[in-house]
Amino acid sequence: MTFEAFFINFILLFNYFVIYYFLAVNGIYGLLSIVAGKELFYYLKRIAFGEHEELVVSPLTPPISVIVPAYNEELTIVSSVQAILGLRYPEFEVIVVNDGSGDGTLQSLVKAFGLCKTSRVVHKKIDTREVKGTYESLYHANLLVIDKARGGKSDALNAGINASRFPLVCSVDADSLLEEDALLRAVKPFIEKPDKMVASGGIVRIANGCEITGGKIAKVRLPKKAISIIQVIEYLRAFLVGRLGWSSLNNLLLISGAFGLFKKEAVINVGGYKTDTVGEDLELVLALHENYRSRNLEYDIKFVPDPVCWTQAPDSLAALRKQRERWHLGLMNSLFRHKKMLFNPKFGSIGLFGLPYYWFFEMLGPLVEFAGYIIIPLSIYFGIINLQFFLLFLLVAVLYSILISLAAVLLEEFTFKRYQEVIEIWKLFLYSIIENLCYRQLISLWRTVAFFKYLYKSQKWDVSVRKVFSEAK
Amino acid sequence: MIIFWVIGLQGIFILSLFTYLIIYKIIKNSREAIFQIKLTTQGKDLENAIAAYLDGGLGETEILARIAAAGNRISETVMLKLVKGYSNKGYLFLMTGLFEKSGLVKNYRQVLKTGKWWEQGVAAQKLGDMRSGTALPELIAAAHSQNLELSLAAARALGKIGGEKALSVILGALSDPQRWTAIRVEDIVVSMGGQAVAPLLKMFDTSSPEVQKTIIEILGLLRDKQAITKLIACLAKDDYEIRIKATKALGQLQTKSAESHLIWLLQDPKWEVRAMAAKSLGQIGSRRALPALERGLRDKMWWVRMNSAQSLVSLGPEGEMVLKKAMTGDDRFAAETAVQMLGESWNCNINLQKVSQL
Repeated sequence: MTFEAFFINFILLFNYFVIYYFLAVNGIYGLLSIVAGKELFYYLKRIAFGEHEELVVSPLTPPISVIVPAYNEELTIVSSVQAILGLRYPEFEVIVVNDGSGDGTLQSLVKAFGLCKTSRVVHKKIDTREVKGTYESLYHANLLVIDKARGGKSDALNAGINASRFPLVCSVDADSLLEEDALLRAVKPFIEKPDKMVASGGIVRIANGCEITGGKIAKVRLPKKAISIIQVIEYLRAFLVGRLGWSSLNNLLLISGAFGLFKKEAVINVGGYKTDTVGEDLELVLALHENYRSRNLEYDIKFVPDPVCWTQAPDSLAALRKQRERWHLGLMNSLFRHKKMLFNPKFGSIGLFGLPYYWFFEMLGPLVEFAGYIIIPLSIYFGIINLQFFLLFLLVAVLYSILISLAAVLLEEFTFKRYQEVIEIWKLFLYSIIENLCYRQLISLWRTVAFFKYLYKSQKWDVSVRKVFSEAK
Repeated sequence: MIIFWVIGLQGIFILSLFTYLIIYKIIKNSREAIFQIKLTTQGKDLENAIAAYLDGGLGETEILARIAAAGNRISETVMLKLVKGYSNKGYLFLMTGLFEKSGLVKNYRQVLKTGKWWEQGVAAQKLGDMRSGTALPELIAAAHSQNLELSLAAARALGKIGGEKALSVILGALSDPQRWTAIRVEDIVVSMGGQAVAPLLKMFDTSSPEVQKTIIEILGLLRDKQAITKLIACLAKDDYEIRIKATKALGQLQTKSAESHLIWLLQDPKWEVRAMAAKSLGQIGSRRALPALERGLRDKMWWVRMNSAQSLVSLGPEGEMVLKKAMTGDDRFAAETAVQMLGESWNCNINLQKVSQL
């Protein structure tokens, strides 16, 4: 066989592969949309006669330790902690871990909350970098601040776990805003299945453009920048379709690091958060799955669509690129770390369905897409595929992707209805189309770069520039 | 050709969904706006009329006519809002009467019999808020439903209504933990208050150990002195988890008669029991326990030392004297624990000054 014949055969095979790949990934996403829609429908029916008010007054609602790792958060830390202290929940403590900040994070906290150095002895269950001091507040009995040597977010979370007094721990990013009832809603799975529930996660929404007053979201609005609006749609798709769908199939592999609730004992049993990865949230959930399944123990990890955490999304291409590269590096790190679970029947549906999806569609998907951009033009050049057929297939693929994005927007508008104004719905519709015409391709490119970066082992966690939450004027 | 059809259908589907969403939004927002306007005007008048009725200024016939004129949705919204704000039993009784005579209870009883499970759940919740005793048969039937959410909503409603029949259904669920998780049943029983104590004590001896633990927990939360004898008897049980829960409950009851038993438990072979005993002695305020708590400072387990130290702090100057002595004693662990406890209660102002100089 000549080289040209071999090359043509290769391209032909790749085209068939792309068609089947397209059918598989979109088939799965279509299934997730249907499953998520059904789950959301029943969830909303259940919470219509829910018991949130009873949970607030009940002495049996399990207490929670809210851990807030902070690194160079001088501008936002006080408002963030004030907002967390104002959450509606019967019993909880807030542990802020100052992870060796170089700015005035600790000083801001001392001044705002009347902190007092104590000689509290922390029961060290997970190894961490040195704890330099613990501070308690004169004004808030449930606030503790830990000052420690720099060790990274995971190390800070582990230090918080060591100091926590309660059986449930909640990790919250310092630049995130939790809604008032977020803890009440996130704790419900632990009340329904106190023996089995190990972790629950809520939805993360984009705070850009929202009116914020007193550390709370006063009015929900779409962001002004196109790049942020597109991320709104992306997050809706990822959470309301992806996470909810996988959760209802008992295959949830990721609870967002911005807001997650865990059984403390379970986290300690897997050694806490791993400090040698940038995807500590995915890594922890995979470790929990591996630990429980390898010991044949019954457990559950759930996504709850109700509790909301608002976060600032990157509003520049440079910041977005860094974020997406970091996410992809973290994904690859965790998948390789737990590769023994892949296709291993011992790990049940996680090993046979959940992980393979992440390996072949989340991790390799950008690579396949990128390869397509090179091979398809070659296919047309060699006359392997008909240009008209290719354009029509491309149109079908893009329309299908728009449909999935729109399905996520519709799920949001028929259920939680955060975006009330008709003009905002127009915008979401418009950007559902725009997202699939250039944005997704850009994200795929960056993820492909991250893929090769990982292979060459050049990982670095870039720190995004933090912006102050814009207060309402 | 097929591809053209696929594209066309996709496009039509997308546009239809979007158009439906826009129209749905406009209609829904309009309806909601109209309801809010009506609620503001008519609702306020109805609120005032009900307040007048409850104070005897308006007759029953007239108030029922006003409720009928306002319509079901507005009257239900107003009346449920008022009921949540009342604690006066007389007012609540009169409000329940209004709910029943206005036909609102009848409507929800019907839904509870024939609706879909989520409609039944909402109906159960509303009947509970209305404290409707006439709905007991339907609520009891719903509490035995196979649908977990519905049965729990019905149980919560029964908890709000109270009474012997309601209580027996809920306590029956304690013995069947497969149906409802214990924590939810506990919650409902605790909310029923003192009327649950005697039946709980009665069912204790014939219950399984798991149910006994739940009952002990509830008795502690109810803080009723009737339970003391039973709880003290539990301190001698072989199951250490029962000992822990009984110790905790006695601490919550703050009963001096349990002092000597709790002091004895500071020598229990299980550290969890010792730790709980140390904590409960602090809650009771037992000065007789000072020597035992001092020994607790030297316990090999961290939690026992910590709880003993915290209890000593709560016992005032005498407890602090014991801690000061331990600070300079020969036991390193006791000294460390004492330093922490005393430091937290003494040195705050001095350290605040130092910290502000950072």
